[in-house]
Amino acid sequence: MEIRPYTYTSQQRPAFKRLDAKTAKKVIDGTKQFTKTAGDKGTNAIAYALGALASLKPVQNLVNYLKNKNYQEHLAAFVGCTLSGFYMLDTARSKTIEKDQKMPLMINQGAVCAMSTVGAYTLNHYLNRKINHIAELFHISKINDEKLQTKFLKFKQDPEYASVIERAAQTNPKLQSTINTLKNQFEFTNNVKVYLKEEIKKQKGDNIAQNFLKEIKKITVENGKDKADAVKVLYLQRMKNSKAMRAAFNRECMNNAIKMLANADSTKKLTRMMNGFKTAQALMVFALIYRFVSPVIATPIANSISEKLENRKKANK
Amino acid sequence: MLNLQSNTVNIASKQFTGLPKGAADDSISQFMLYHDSLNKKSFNQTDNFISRKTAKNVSFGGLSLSEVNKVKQTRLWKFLNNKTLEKFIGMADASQTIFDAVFALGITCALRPAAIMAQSNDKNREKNKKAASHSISSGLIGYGFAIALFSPIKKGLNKLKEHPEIFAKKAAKFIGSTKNAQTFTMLVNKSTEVLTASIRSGITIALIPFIDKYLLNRIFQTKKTAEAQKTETQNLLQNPIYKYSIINFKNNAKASKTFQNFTGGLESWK
Repeated sequence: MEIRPYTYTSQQRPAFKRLDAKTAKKVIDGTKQFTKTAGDKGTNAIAYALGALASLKPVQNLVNYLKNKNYQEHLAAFVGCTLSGFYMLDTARSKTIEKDQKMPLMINQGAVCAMSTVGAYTLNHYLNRKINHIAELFHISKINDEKLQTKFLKFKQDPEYASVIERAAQTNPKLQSTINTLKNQFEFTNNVKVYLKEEIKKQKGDNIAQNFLKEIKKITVENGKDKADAVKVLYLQRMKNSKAMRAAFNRECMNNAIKMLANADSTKKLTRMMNGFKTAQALMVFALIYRFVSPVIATPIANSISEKLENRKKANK
Repeated sequence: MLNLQSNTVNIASKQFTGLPKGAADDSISQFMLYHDSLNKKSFNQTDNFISRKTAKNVSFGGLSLSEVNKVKQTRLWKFLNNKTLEKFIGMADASQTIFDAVFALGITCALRPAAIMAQSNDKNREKNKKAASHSISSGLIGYGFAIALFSPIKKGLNKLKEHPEIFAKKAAKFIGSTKNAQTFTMLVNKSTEVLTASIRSGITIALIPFIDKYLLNRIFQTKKTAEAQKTETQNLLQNPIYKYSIINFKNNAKASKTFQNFTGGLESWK
């Protein structure tokens, strides 16, 4: 047995822990871990609650009713209008805001709401069309393989380039299978609708595509089936004779192919870039317009209207 | 005429491969490398097929490479390839909610009030102040609700969509279909927004006077017009306000007895 003499070192019995970089990092990591676990539990609880909500019959019926209708724009407009309505009501009720300031503020809130809803129905379509092209170009520019990039660029310039690839696929079963998966992935989404309208403008006199857009509205489906499936079948039928519809189909397939590429990429850079562009686009364009431009324009208009109203009141007295 | 002829010949040869003659390995083969493992043999087969020239196979659909080069020389393409743009977008992807919140706060709390106040003159300053403070308070409330309520719900919805069999045992099949899941998320998001609308607006409007009082009034002090200043000076001349010093050495006997015999420092020196 070995007897060691006792020597006091600060490490054995530290009087207090010094706040150095190591301990600071420990504390930060600990709090991060705590918030992460707490957040996980919280979101888990929310997910369970939403799952329970989804298993209710009336909710399912409502979803089934709504899913075959084009309601998203109207719902967004409705939400915006209710919030602005509450703003106006609360301003009218408020006791702390001066009486002569209430009217201009209320008119301001109403004007912003009106401009935003009108913009959502008109400007959004125009902007979406422009941004779609830029987004596609951006996605293509982030493809690493240069030869592949030129292929996609050719596709972007002229969707008819698909015919070249399809001819190549006739002798190549594996290329055929990827093309088939792309075809199966196709769905008539809102994006495809936008592409189709653009193509119809380019190629005037494409009656088949125009008739198709009218036909969709009249389609009725049995209970429990998706309307989207019926629309897809009809689209694939009509596509054979319409150039515009083929072009829209090819463009959607190109976008799906880029997504496939992004999923296959091990670095996941393309996926990150695609997601980042989506959020940045929503922020830069729509947030800037609806949170900044329209309120700033609305203020002088609201001021002049309220001034006129006040003058009229004084004249009446 | 000669030029025209040579042009047409060029285009026809390009359209078979979509490429000039030299670049043989640039072909559809690369297109599939990412999707599935194709061996080189089949690549070569596709190349052979494309370069096999028969009258039936002539198509005018393909584009020559020069048009691709044209796209690459545009300003937009150069902007999209910019490295700072890539960094910016990488940031947007890495921390979506924070990025969103910071951007929204920046607009509603700084940019928009500044732009509104920049338009103001003496007549409408008060009105513009109200609009600016409404912008600030709505931005703050929006940020608070986004962090505390909307982003956790978004995360919960994502979890439900990823693992419907764990979180919704009875409705796993129902959530499993993408169309149903889409409508359900839309419904949940919008309904929470509608249900909290009255609370949000109530707090926002209640905050306006406070922001007006403690923030904007201090930054934008109301300038007095020339007439108002004149009347003020006249009032001052008519009813002058005298300001006494607090320590009155001679006459304030009650305050302290120590200064009773004090006649002033300088005089005593004489």
